[in-house]
Order: sequence, then structure tokens, then C-alpha cells
Amino acid sequence: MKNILYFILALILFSSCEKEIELDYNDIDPIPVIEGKLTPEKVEVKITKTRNMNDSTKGKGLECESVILTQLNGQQFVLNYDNDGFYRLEYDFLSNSQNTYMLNVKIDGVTYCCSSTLYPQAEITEPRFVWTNLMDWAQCLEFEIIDKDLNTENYYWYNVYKNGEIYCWAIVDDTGCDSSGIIYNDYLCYYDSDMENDDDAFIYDGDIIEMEVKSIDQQTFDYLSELQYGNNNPKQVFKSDIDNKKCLGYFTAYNPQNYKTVYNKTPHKK
Amino acid sequence: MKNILTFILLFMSTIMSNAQTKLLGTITSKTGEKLAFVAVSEDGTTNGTLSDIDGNFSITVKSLPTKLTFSFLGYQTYEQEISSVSNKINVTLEEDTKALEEVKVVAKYGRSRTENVIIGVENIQMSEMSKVPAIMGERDIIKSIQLLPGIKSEGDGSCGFQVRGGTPAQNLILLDNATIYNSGHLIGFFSAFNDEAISNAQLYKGQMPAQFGDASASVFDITTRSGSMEDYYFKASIGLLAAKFAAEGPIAKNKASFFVSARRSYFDLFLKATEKYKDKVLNFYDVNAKVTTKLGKKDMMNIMFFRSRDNMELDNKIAVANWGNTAASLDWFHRYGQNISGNTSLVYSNFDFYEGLNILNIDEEASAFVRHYLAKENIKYSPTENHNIMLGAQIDHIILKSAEWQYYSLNEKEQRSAQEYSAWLSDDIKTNFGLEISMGLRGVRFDVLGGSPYYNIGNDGEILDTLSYKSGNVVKSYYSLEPRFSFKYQFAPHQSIKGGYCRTSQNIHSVSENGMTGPYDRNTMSSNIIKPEIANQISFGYMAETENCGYEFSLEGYYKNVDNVYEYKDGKGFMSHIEFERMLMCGKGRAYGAEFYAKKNKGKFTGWISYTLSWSENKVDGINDNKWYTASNDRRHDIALVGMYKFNNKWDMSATWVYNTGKALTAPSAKYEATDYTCYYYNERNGYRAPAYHRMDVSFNRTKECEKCIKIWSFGIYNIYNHYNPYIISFENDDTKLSGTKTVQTSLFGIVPSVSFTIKF
Repeated sequence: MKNILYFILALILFSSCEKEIELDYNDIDPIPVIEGKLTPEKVEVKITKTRNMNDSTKGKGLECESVILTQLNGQQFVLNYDNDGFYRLEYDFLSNSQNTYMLNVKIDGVTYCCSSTLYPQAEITEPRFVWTNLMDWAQCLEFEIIDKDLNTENYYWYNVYKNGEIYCWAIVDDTGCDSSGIIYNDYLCYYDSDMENDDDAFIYDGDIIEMEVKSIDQQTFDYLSELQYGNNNPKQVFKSDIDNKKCLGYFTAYNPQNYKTVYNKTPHKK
Repeated sequence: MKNILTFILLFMSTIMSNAQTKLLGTITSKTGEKLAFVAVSEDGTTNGTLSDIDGNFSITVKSLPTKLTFSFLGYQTYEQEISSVSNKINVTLEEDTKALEEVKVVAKYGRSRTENVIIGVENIQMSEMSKVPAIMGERDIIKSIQLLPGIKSEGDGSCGFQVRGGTPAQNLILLDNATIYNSGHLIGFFSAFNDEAISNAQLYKGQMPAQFGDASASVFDITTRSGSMEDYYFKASIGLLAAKFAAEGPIAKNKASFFVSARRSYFDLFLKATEKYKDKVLNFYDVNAKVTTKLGKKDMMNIMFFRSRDNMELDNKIAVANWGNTAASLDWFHRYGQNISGNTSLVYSNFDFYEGLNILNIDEEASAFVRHYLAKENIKYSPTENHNIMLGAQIDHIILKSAEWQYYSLNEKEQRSAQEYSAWLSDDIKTNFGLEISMGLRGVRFDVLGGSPYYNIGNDGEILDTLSYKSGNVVKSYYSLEPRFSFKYQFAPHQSIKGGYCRTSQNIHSVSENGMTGPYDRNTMSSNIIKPEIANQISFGYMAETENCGYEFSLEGYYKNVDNVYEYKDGKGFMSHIEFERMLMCGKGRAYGAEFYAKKNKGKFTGWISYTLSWSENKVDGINDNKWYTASNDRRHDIALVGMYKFNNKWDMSATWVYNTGKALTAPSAKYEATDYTCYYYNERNGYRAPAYHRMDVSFNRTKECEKCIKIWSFGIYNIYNHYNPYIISFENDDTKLSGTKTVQTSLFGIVPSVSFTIKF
């Protein structure tokens, strides 16, 4: 729905101008950031801290006191430190689909905890690139997710990589999905007329496009939705054992569906 | 207690029974027609009356000699010196052959500031405001009032205005008693009000008479024009972006008249000439119409219609957005006797918004509206020239669709209704030793009505219960007693001090996402959860003018607090949930400041300086650690310089320069990597300042009077020194830069020249 407003905004900005300005950013004490991902084969947790706005050095990974994963049946796994803030564990979680997992991370004496539920793999149709005329000819990535369980609310997160680098991500839920269970996805990639500008936003012939679609739980969906909104912070999903201790990031369990292709640009009709 | 009341009554009757002089007279037109409802005012005072249906008037003046001013729509204003009480005063008014040119409803713009007993009232004189330069050649009353003290712009691309630390949603805009919820065209680039259709306007900056309510910040009361009852006049104007026309004249001579004006933008015609944009729609229009009828000797009726519309559309309707206002009112004036008159009003107003997107597999629609039905009776009784009592009552029925959206097969809607009952009583008393007092009391009952779901909502925005009430049943009632008090003490002939206290409530709320109002902002009403906004304001001021009224000065200060201010929760926006209350947090606000104004009224060069120093803060649990924080509309300094110079009868020019401290800005304080992207952490809402806003506009007008018509060429330059002012500020991580972050300002306008041509006949 927000897309409509973007179109209106695009019309307004038709004659606008941009320039770089100086802003005196405030400095704050670094806040821990935990990015936890659990798939049927492995668990990977990255620990970093925020950096000030004027810091041009990418945040280095941190080694913390402990990273522990707990299953619903009480079974615990201690994750070992790998490198650059990554804690990893390889294990077969597939048999425990629909299970809920709890991640406990202890940083600077404070334990942060977050849970996530693993849902079955998403079923998708083959992604394709299509042209559409929206103010100008635009290239869209289009695919459908087949919602298998119409009786529950389902949430999905997809990431698109171009030549191994993140190209875009988006979230979608089954709101408005009819009895066919088809969830349509159209992602506007770029306008054809802008192609003369060499930019990371465009896809060129021969680019390797990879896509990962994940069924996620509502907590992760809400977090990503609020993160996407911008201008303020998403609700904190990691609870701390000491009041008012802030922690950013998320923990999500998912069973990914992957797709890979080599991009071949087709001409659009005039 | 009884003794005190008796003393006050005795005191009042004593001071009001002092010797005064009563003047009687008759007003006629050149053709001998007796003119009813002519405004008669005593110069240098606030004395005033209207002529009756037979053209007779009576006015009591303090002393002789004095000067009376007679003004009536469609006639030239006439002034007459009265040195003695002899015979009846006979006045003949001449028709104003330039009726469509300008209407001076306020006899002396400069005097109104010093004379009005209520502090913080701006009388808008269209003839003066129309000389202020405007964007793209379009005169704009909303942009013009932003040059007055205490009234601020939201910035380029917004038609919202902020009054004394309030938000645009806290202003009540009335067009002939009809509430206008969206006052802008093209998402605020232009005002929805065609200047041709406006007769006069008054802006109450917090201190408002008891007949007004439902506004925490201000009431902007606009009166549309009535047509001439004597002759026909026409006016047409064409500018770079829009064309407009106006026509007026008698339906039945001296008994009924009409006025009609319309405006439409035509830049979509230019788009059609281009290959790329030929299938796009981008236009706006507005229409004003008014019929005025004299019904017998004691009655007059006005019927007004207003419609404004904006349309945007992309190829084959793949994206559509439109919105607008529709309003109609019937106003019946009846004179019951020499000292008592009444106004009965029936009013309908509607604002609606629609957007749709149908492209590839995306099929979405969203819509909203606020619909208002109102009946009002206002009785005015003047036992003496110096004593006015007003009594009235009003019933409002409101239907508000906060949002409805169709998303594939999902349809969600939040639509509610309410009824508001209000009654008021006010008493204005003038003494003969310079003290004037205005006292008022307004009572409001607001009934939240059933027929749609209401909720109990948890701290995290989750719905705990859904409450169902039958249609028309009262879900909850809110009561509000709102005292109003103002005084003016004129301690010297041209100097006075004023003060006042005002309490108001507001039951229709609107929350904007990023401090910039637009037609897509979500509206809601007080409910079982959302409480009425309650504002209390005190203000004091000093006003002075030079002996010949050539210069005037004022200094005013104010403090106000507002309970039940609503803000979005972190991470939430107007589309997050259909249940609006799930996304809101409640708190309180306060604002205080000082306003300075100096104006030159006479001579070839006229103009003014206004300066406002102000603070505006909010405190909402859940935002900024529950501490007071800078409100999004806080601006420390606001300066406007306005100059107008008349070279000769043909040429005049005007220039304005405005400066505002930058808007409060929510910007990140830290960044981190997550989801393979750089994300931002916002430590404080509104913790930064955008760069300051300033620009200068100039315009030149060439007026040529021909035998049967007047031709005007207007040349304007908006933002003459091409300063790019902030509209959006965005942040982008850039580790290749030493600073680590690229901060980008998007601006809407650089220098914009304009030209327009107007012909009047």
C-alpha cells in the first residue's frame, strides 16, 4: 500500500534537487547487536556492537561470554566461537520442524534471550523478470509463494543476491490471500531509462541471481517490518535479565527455499 | 457571594450608564434604495452596528466630534465626520465599480490588532494579502498568514500551518461554518482556497470566542464572498499553472445575488504534449458558489457550496490517487428586534481520500473520509452599544472512516460515528474608562456512538477485547466545560494591554508520520480509548500605534499546555494496522513563546516585520525515556519581513523574506550491520535540527485601467536567491568517506519565476 505513496512522492520529487549536507551526529555508547539464524542444518549467531555515525570502519565481530541454544525439550547446545563475532553449530534440526528454540547470549555480564519457531519450507514458483510500464519501463522480479496452510497466518522473508552480494530483501505475509493460497510478489528493481548510469541497483546480462525464501515467525516478521519502516527503532526482541539493557538484532529459525539463475535481459515492448 | 454579585452588577451598570451620545441615521444607495446590513463603525473605537432592513441605524458614541465609517459589500467605503447631534444622518453609498478587485471588510487592518478585545486575533484583509508574492503566480491565503507572528509554515510542499506550537491538525479551518479538513492542493503545494472567493478571514491564535471550539491551537474562520446585488462583474485570470474566473451579480436586483468562482490547473495539458507523460493525470480544481437573498425586511439568507479536488493517475489507472473537500452551508440571518438578531446554520462538509494500485499482480485500494453534519443557532443581544451577549447551541454528527483497504481478497475498515452537543454564552462589556472585558463559557458533550467495533488494547498494541455496541448506542461520553476570558485596557489613546485565558477541547485527531501533514494522514475521533485533547492557554500583550495610525506595534507572550496528545509508537505508521489505536501513544504537550510585530500602514511603502521566539515540547510515555522532548513542530526563531511599494497607479511591487530555525529532526545516533545492510539506531526522537529555512520572493504588478476593464500583469520570482531549503533529509552509510555517513538533503524548489494575467470587467 505504501507503494502508492512512493509514486506520489516520485511525482513531487520530479523537479527536486539533492545535495550533501553536514550533520553533527551525536555519539552514544555502543549497543550489542545479535543476529541469530537457525536453519535445519546449522545455527549461526553474529555478535557485534553499534558504531557511531561518523565511524567509517565496519563493525568488528565480538567474542562474548556465552551463546547457548535451548530446544523446547530442554536440550541445550553451546555454540562455539568461530571468527569475527560468529558463533556456529552444525546439527540436524530438520526432524524438529515446528519446534521453538531459545537463544541466550551473555555479553558484558548481561544475558539476552530471544525465541523463534521453525516453520516448514516455503513453496515458490520459479522467479522471473518482467517489464512493466510504471511512469517508465521498469524491470520487476516476480514470483509466487504457495501458502500451504490457509488456516494460520504465515510470514515470509526473501533475500535476493546478485553475484553473491545482497541485492534486496523484502517481507510478505498471506494477508488477502484467497483460497488458492497464492501470494503474489512483485519487486520493482530499476527503470530502463536509468540503465545508462552504472549503479549497483541494476542487473546486467550474465549476473548470477540467487534467491532465498524463508518461512519465518511473526516476531521476526514484525521486527523486519518495523526495521524497514525507518525513522525509528523496531521493538526490541531480545529480553535482558537486567532492566533497561538495550540490545538490537533478531533471532530467526527458518527452512530456506533457494533458487539460482543467470540473468538474461529481454527487450520490452515499445 | 450574593453581595459580590450585586456589587459587580451595580458597578457595571454605573460605568455603563455614563453620558454618551446617540446618533441616528439612514443609509441609501445612489438609486435611493435603502441599504440593510451596512456596517457602521466609530473610528478609533470598537463601536459598531449594522443598519436594519430599512437602512436605519443607531450608534452611541463616546463623544463628539467623531468619525463614522460605513462599509458594505459591493459599495465604496464611506467615512463621515460628525461634529454635533443635529438632524438625522443621511448617508449615500456609491457602488464599487471594482467590486471584484478587492474587499476591505476590516475597515482599518492596522487598527483591528489594537482594537479587538481578544488577544491573538489576526484579521486577514484580502486586499493586502493579495499583494504578497506567491508561488507560481497563485495567491494563497494559507501561505500569506504564515507571514504573521505566531504562525509558521511546515516547509515547502505543505499547506499545513502551525499556530503557537500547535500542529496543523490542531487548527480548525471553517469556510462559512463548514469544517475543511484538508486545505491543500497537490499535497500542499497550493491552498485549496481560491483567493477570488474569499471575503475576509479571522485567525484566532488560541484565545477564541465561546462560539468556537474543537481546536487545540487555532480557529481560522473564513467567510466567502457574496455577489453584488446591483450589477454584474467578471474576472478571469491565467497563470503558469492554473486558470480561474469569477462572476457575480444580481439574480433579482437588490434582492438576491450570486457569486461563482472556479479554478483549474492545466499543467497536465503540458504533460500530454510529451511522449513520456502523455498518459498521466495530474490536476486540481475548486469551485465556490454563493447565493445571497434578502427575505423580507428582517431576514437574509446565504447558501454556499464549495468543492475542491485533486487527481493523480498513472498509465491506464495502474496507480490512482484523488482527494478533496465538499462543503455546503445554509445560513439564515434574522433580526428579531432592534437589539437582537440570530443566525441559524445548517452545514455539511466532507473530506475524502482514495488511492489504488493495480499493476502486475498487485491489487490494492485504500480510502478514508471525515463527514460532518451540523446545525447551529447563534443569538446576539445588545442591550446597549457597549454590551453584547451571545448565546448559542450546536449539534454535530460526525462519521469518520479512519481507513478502509482492499488488499487482494482482504477488506478491512475502521469507520465510526459520534455526536457532539455544544452550547455557549458570552458577554462582552466595554467601560468608558478604557477597560473591555469578554467572558464566555462553552460546554461540550461528545458521545462516541456504537455500530462498529471498539477495543481494549494491551501495552504492546495487542487487541485484548473487541467491544460491540448497537448502532446509535452511546459507547462513552466526554464532557468539557471551557471558560474563556479576555480583557483589554486602553490606558492611553493609542496604547493598550491585553490578556486572556482560554480552554478548548478537540475530539477529532490526526497524527502525521514525519511532522509533515498530507491528505493521507489518518484521522480518528475520541473513543473509549482515545481521549479529547484539552488545551489551556494564557496570553498577555501590549499594543500601540502612532497617533495617525501610520505605525503599529505589538508584543505578545503565551503559555499553553495540551493534554492527550497522540504520537505513533516506534516502528509504526499509518498503514501498520487498521485499528488506529494500536499504533498510538498518549502524552501531553506544552508550548510557550513571544511574538513581536511592527507594521507601517500608510504611505507608498507599507509592510511589516514579525518575529516569533517559541518552544514546543511533548512528553509521551514510551518516547525518549518518558522525558520532555522537542516536538516535531518546534522552531526557535521565525522571522518574516514584508514590504510593499506603490510606484504609481500602474506599478507596484512587493517582497518577502522569511527565516525559520530548522525543523526538529529524528536522525540516527549509531549504525550497525544486520540483514546484510547497514541499519540505524535512533537514540532520540526529534533530537536533531534540520538546516534553517530561508528564502526571498518578489513580485511586480502592472495595472492598466481601460474604459470598461482593468488588466493586471503580475510577474513574480519565488526564492529569488535560489536557496535550496530542506524537504527530506536522508542518511546513507559510506565507509569510503572519512565521515562514515553521507547525509543528503532533498529540496523541492530552487528559483521559480512566474507570470499571470488578469482581466476584470
